[in-house]
Amino acid sequence: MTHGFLLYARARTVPRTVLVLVATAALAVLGARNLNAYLDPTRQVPVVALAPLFAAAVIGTSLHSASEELDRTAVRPWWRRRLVHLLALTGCAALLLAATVLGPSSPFGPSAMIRNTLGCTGLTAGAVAVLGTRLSWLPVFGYVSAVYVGSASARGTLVPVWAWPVQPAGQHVAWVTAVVLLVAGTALYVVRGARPEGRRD
Amino acid sequence: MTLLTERAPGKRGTSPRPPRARHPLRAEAVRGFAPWAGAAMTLTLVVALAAKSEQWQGGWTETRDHVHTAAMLLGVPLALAAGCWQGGRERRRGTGELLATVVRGRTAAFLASALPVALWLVAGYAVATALALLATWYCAMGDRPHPGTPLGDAVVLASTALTGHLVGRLVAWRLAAPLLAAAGYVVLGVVGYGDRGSAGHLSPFVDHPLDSAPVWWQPLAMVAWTGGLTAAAVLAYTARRRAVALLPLVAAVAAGTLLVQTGDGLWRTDPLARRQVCDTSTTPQICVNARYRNLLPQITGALSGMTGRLEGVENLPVRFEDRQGRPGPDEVELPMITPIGWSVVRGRLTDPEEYAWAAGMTLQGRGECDEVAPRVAAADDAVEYYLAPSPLRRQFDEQYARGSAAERAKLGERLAARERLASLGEEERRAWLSAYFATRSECGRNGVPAL
Amino acid sequence: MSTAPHTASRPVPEAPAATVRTTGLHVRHRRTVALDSVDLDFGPGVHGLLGPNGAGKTSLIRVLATVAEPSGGRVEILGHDTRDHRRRGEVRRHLGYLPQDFGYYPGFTVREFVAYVAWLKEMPADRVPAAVERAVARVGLADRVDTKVRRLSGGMIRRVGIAQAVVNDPRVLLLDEPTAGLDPEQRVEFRELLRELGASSTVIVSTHLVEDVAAACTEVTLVDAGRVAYRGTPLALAALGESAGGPGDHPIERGYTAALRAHRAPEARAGRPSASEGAAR
Repeated sequence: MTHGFLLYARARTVPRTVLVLVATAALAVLGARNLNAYLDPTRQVPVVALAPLFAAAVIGTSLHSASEELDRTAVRPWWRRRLVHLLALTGCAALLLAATVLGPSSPFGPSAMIRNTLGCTGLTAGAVAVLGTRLSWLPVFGYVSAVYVGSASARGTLVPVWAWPVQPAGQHVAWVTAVVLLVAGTALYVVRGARPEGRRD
Repeated sequence: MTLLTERAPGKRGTSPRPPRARHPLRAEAVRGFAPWAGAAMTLTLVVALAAKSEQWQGGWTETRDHVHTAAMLLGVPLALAAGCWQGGRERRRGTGELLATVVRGRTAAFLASALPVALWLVAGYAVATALALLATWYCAMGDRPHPGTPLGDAVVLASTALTGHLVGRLVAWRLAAPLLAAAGYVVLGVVGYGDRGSAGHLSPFVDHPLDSAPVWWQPLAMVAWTGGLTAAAVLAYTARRRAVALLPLVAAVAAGTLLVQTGDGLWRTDPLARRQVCDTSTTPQICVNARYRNLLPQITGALSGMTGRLEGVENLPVRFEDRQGRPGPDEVELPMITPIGWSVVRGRLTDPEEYAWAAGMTLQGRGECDEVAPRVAAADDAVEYYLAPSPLRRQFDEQYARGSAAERAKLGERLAARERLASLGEEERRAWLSAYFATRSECGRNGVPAL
Repeated sequence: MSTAPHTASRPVPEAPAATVRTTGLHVRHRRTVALDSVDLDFGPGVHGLLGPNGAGKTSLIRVLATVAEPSGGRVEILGHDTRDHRRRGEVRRHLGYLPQDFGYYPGFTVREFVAYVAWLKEMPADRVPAAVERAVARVGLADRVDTKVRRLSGGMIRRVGIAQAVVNDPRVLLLDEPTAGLDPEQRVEFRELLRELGASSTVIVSTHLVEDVAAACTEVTLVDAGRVAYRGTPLALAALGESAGGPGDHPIERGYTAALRAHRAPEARAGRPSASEGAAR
């Protein structure tokens, strides 16, 4: 069983994905150091918004299966593997990224980073089920970029709901949105799996 | 010909269609991904611009700067990603084998698949820019459109799309496109907003002050720089004689050197921003920066109540001025129009009453005093009330009326002063106001006439 | 090549000059040798290329298609040396190629895709629409000409591949497993097309299907382990199979196995009369 699980992880290029996530975290550390966030916590927003975005893109594309036709004939139920696979990678990304912004308490610290990682991964997982892994990064990329650019001048009570990636950690509504996205996206992916792709990589 | 053609004679017989003589490349342009990339470009830019439309609509300079910022910070990453995606197409579709046997040169085949995306992206950008210009045109406040930067940006976008295409051909990684876009965004943002010295001027996006404009050849040099680099890279990859790539490379290096050498000289104050247009029929005269000349009637109208009441009063400043720097000795600053989006939105004063009140306050000129004697404050308040009361005046008064005994006393004093100023005769009031304005900008109590 | 009698109904022109000629051809993929000093020539007609998997058939076709560079030796097509890049364009103008792994753009219609390939082959623009119509009709897709490629079945896509290969009326046509994915009826029709094409041009077909060879080819070349194992007409190969008694259910199949065995037996190689010049050495 353990052996099978290891083979599964290799088939889905999990080791490489984890390496890329580590590299993402390293880049995030570099970015966070250069922002002088001690002057103004909001300077950390780019890192807190963009690093989870990229981690989610990495996770989304790694959900690709090279043998999807074959997979569908498997005896073992896929949903458990999908769930464990997705949650393991999400947890790994969340922990790695949270570690990058450890330090003096900041509204854009580890908590916001974890929230954004969860939300972005949820969106991406949903996109994997709907669009396929190859383009799974597109919706989350477009959405977070739009929020990042557009929320600066936005006012209103609904802002924390849709602009969750740029809210400070104390904003509970943003957490709710992120968790709802994670649950919905994960459920969609776990139930339906990745959308079958064209013939080639 | 063969029996194969006999399979479907009926269908062709019933609907004889002449073979359409469309150019083979039309398929590349209308099928697949390219039109979507163009639509995405339009959508991205329009949404980004619409979100901040109050801050640029009506001002040609502001429009240019906002469109430029959006096109560079959002459009360039999008073009990189779209080009990169298209560049990976031959790999995804497995057509490389077939393309290796074609007669056309590698450069032609490369451009046949790369240019449609680049051109659609530019078309998307052109649509968004045209919409922005139209949006500004109908409420323009003066000045004129600035075509240089948008035209240069179009070439920059096409170049980045081709560069992305090249990366997509070379890098076989699913995440190449988003990674490239993220890298483009971060690099442009860091270089554009940070202080990177002269080398920063090589970036197609550099944050610059509102009243400065790029010199006319800056977009040309930027086109030569980015376009030259792209052409050199594409030729180095596709041309059989790699040395051909040296030619655009030399052009790019020359343009880049020019950009770096000129440095901050690339931006100079817009000559128009140093000029102003004036309405000399009023006292004081009202001048508006030439860039917003169409606002003059509105501002004159908003201030007409005040200027009417000031007719014949002496010791007033000569004019409200609206230029860079501090006002001259006989001038006061016109309440701020820029940055647009606050007191002026889409070519209209958002609140003429408040604008007039702000103008009245600058006439009194005691905004910078630390402390003003109660008697002077009462006189100021009476003049303010007489010239152009703040729209919030009634609220303040009510607040005072509900406040402490001291505040109620102060209010009583002020109401009395207003009453006295109002009850003066025309001549008498003019004389009093002339005496009052002789002390403007002075913080001491000396000289302010009693009321 | 020889002008041996053949099974096809149409006669080939008398003593045609070789349109494709390889001399001492070497092809290496990293460390493995794909082709080892192969001397071959092909004239007009349909040439079947048989051989086990990994024998070097695809390598040969790719070198002839000017996709891959030979690591040694000479390839001459229509009298031009393909190493000379100035001549290569001239060669490619008269070349049709269907790769084993045929890639296409799913969003294009059949007409658009074939026209695009025609443009890439630098056909004069005014001739392209008619040439596309003709090529598409030849493969029996005339009723699907404005259908997007993604809506076609596997066999139809294969036929689109054949259509793009013949759109420029090539004088040298290289088809790598063209019948894979075609149903029996389509294969029968395809063989008819092959015979028609072979009347005027040099068609080289790599295949695993001996029936195709028996029915449509004027000549068979058997490749094994990077060398030419046998050359002759399908009839001669079938006769070899009958006389040598190789295993198989079809005369050509028996000939195929017999020729392979004879080629692989080192002591037998030198004296065999039916092995052609390319196999010796």
